[in-house]
Amino acid sequence: MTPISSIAPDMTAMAPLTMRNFQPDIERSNAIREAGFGAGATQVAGPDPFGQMMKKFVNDVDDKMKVSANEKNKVLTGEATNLHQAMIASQESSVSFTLMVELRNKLVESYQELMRAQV
Amino acid sequence: MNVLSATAITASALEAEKMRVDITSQNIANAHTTQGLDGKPYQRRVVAFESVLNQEMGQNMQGVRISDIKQDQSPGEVIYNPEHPHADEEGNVQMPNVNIAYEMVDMVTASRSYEANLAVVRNARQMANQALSIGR
Repeated sequence: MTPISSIAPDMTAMAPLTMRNFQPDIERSNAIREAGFGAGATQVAGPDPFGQMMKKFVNDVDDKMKVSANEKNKVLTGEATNLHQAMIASQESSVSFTLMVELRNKLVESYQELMRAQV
Repeated sequence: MNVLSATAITASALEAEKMRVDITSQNIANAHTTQGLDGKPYQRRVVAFESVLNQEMGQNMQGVRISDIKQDQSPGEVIYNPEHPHADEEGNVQMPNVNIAYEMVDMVTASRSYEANLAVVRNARQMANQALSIGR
């Protein structure tokens, strides 16, 4: 029977070895976690870039709606006489709103697809 | 983000055609004006269009605008009507050079052009909506 003390020096010699092997992996995963979630986040600068993109997009659509409302007000108050400009602005805002809704539908659909996945 | 880019050009055309109808309405309204602001009989106005570059969209996108509104210098009809307040010593009245038939033709052309440009807007919107329904 091998005395335990004869293995012990081997174990102590191995322990730092195994720690050294995993260290780079741990550091890498820590770096990923700090930069944001997932591997994609390390490629794009800034925190939460997708959320920001969506926010900008929604703001754009909102701006178009404001422009449209402004044009309509101008026509109604007699400040401007170009009806077509107001109508075109309202069409433009409606189309971009539809685009936004389509994007949201697509996102929700993808999310639900993921949630349906068998675990 | 410009979803209906074609409409920027069309809007300028709509503006110009609207102006053309406005001018026609002025001509028809003043068809019997024997004393204009300058004291002379009204002279019919003619509009001229010119193309204008769309700064945002580059060299090949040209809109349109009114370049000039000129007075038609051809002489109007002279009628004999001594009762008229603006008649000269011989009882002749210098009438404006407006021909209602011509003005009506102008108005029809302008309103048809307006209609054509509206069709462009409608089509641009339809194209956008069709593109949006790709995923459905």
